[in-house]
Amino acid sequence: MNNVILTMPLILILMGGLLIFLPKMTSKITLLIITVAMPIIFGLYMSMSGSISFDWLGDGSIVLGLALSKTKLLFFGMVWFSLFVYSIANLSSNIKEEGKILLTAGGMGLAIFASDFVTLFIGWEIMSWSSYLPILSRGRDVKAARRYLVYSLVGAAALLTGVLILGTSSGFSMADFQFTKGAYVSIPFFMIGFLIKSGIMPLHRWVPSVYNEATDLFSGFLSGALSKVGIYGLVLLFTLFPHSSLQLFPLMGWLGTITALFGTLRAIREIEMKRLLAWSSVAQVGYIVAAFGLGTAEGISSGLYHAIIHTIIKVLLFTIVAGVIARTGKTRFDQLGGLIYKMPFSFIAVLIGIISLAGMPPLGGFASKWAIYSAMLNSGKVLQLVVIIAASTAAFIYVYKLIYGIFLGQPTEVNPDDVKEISIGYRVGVIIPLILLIITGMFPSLVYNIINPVIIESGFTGVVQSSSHILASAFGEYNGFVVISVFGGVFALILLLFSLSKTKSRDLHRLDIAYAAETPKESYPLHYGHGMGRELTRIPFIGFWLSKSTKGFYKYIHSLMNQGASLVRVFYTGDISTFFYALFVGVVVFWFIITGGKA
Amino acid sequence: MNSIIQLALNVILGPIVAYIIAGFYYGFYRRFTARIHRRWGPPVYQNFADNIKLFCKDEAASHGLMFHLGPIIVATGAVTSLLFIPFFNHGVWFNGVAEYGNLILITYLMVVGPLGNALAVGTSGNPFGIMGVVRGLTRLIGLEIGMYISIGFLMVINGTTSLTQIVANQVASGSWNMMEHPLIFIISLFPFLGFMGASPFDVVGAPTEVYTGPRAEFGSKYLGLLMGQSMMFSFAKLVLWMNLFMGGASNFLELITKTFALFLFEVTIGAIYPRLKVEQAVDFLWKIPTVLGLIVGILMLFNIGGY
Repeated sequence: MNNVILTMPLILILMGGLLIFLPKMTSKITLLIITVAMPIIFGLYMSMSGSISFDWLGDGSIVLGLALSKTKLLFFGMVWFSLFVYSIANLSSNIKEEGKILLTAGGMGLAIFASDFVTLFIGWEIMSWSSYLPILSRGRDVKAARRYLVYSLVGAAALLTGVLILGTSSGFSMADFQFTKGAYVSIPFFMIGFLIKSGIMPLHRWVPSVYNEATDLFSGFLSGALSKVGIYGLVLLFTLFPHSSLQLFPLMGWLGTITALFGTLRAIREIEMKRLLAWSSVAQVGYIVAAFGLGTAEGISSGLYHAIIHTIIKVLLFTIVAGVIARTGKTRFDQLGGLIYKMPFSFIAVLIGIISLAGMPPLGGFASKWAIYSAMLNSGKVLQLVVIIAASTAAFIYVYKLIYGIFLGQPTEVNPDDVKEISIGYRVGVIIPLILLIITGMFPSLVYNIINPVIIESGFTGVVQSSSHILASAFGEYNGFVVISVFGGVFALILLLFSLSKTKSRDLHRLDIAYAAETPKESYPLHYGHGMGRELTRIPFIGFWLSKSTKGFYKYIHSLMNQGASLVRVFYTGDISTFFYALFVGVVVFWFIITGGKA
Repeated sequence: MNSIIQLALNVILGPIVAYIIAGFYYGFYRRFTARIHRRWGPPVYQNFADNIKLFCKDEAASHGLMFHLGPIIVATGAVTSLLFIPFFNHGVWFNGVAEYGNLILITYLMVVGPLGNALAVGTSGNPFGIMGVVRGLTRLIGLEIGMYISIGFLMVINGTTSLTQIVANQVASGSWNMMEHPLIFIISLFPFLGFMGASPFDVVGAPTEVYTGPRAEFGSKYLGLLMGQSMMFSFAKLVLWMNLFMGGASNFLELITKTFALFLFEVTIGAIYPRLKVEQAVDFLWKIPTVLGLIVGILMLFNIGGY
């Protein structure tokens, strides 16, 4: 009865279509029931393999099919996790978009579980189109939504080209895949399609505006799930193709490295909370792709590890930010500030999130970054490591900006006395991500239990981990449990000793600060949320690169297209007579070509 | 049972010894700079007196719970990173929990403190404090680039991230990395100066000068804790560099000689050079070490040696 699990994506799409017509509360609860039921159904029909198929044309040339494998389950697990947190937090949200979310998730499921390239493409398209709707639905910035659509279409076109080249040379089925010349030619097209969805520079331009324009909770789903489908594609290439044919991967690794650095630098400059998180997503996916580019078992496993951790972190942070926006109605750092004592839960949640995002010990984010660094050392890529480290260090500034801009500093447009903690749904939603981050920090190699089967499926030997709390690589190991205990123990000890001091702490009024021997007034601009990170542009190298963008490149392509179009416009003026002249000339030319001018 | 007692003693004794040694080092530092300024300067034990005074004040100005916890997180970061760095290259004493960690972990533990500090300063709501924090974090980008170029090469050459192993390799071969890989050592000195808070790569730390800097809002016991941890943390970094490049130490005399030599170097450079602006410091720190690092990389690639 494996087929029950495999019909899940189809059921999601059907339910998505149904939910669009249901009233708001019913559809919210239905979504929650569906997401909770999914792992239960999976548990009941537990299986790691199996397939269903449907002969589309009846002659066996194109057989649509879905199949199970551990790789597919891992990536669908990430989609499910994003959906799960979404569906809980969604109970406190006012927006009704459950149907579209389920359609998107179903499309992702189809693309992931696909056992042939045609199904992959169909799922890919469903995913792209249905995720376009929630981005469009706000209608604030139609341009951003259109940009998403254009990038999706380009990605889909590249993917379709790859699928057709591959299909005509070795067939559409993944199971009967044979490595042919055509298959080799199709690799770059697949890579472009997958990298556009992951948002790797220079194909990233849609990400910031789209994550910002999408409804607040949906951004978390996009960051957690959508970018991972692109990553799934890259893993799929490893699974199908002989590794020696993937010569483009080191180049892609460098693209990922550069993305990590410049994504981070861009994130620092952002003033919108969600744009900052979006750029951070771009950068983090850059790490993943950089690790994949190594093309070794350590590289792929650390990349997968980071993908899992990134899904958890981003879902957590986007959900909290969505909660803050829902409570305050403000989206920018210069409008918020000083909310820490009014929103203690959100503060702690964001704190845990940013500690992981910055990759600091003792939480989960450190483990995955450590794995990436050792993988790079193992491949001898010191230069790449240094760039990644620079990105990772620069990330401290934007994670600090995130927590400072919202919770610390002085209040600006939102009076802390008027706001309450974020709604209960958002808080309940992030509890599981929080627990997972702490567990992965304590037992850093536990995740390898689910990564290793994927590594083996993609043709590598698994990464051996002897103990769940020791993360080991060829370059050494560390004990996550000891780190977290020493850290906690030292903290408790110092706290105890510090409390013994007879010095009494006296809480001051928030304006009673060391301010050049005067007491600032309420009207003084004391919140630094807008200016933070501006220092960076004064560093010549960084300032130079920050002033550049890929806009110029796309402008150039745009002007080329315009010129091409105006050339077409000479013949196609809309006037029927010009059209006939053109047709006549065309026929004459065609006739000459065919007959060679001999009547 | 014996090993547990030993571990407990190591964990407690390490920070205390570090605090005492570093206290005297910084006492020396104050006299040293005073002489350059043509003053007498305070006695060498002045830092201890200052620190005790700060802890004995009647009242401490605070800005709420997070402000209170901030200095504790900073101190936790300092002590934890100290515990993951072995003091000696043999035996089990004063090795903390070094066997459970590695170099990458240490470099990350070293930045836990700045983040805790940033949280507390942020809570205080002082814009000048934040300015200092952001300067510090920006400078960190430059420092980490140089740091990772040097330790990245060291880790690749030694084939391990384990600090204990890198020290053991030097003991086994009988020569220090400083002599074996002089270029890598020179690269590492730039971030070393920065991490030790020496000019030209330092950041203004209020309230010693103008009120712009991470310490702007801290007084009495908070400042006391920050001062104490900064001494321990400095010693941790001295020991780290000693372990990386000078073959570790086999006894207390060696430990003090080697760390003091590094300290003297840092103090001398710091006393001579003026402070760079943060953007200038980062610009310098990514350019020079990167160029040197590329030279090392080329020498390594063609197996020429001499890096």
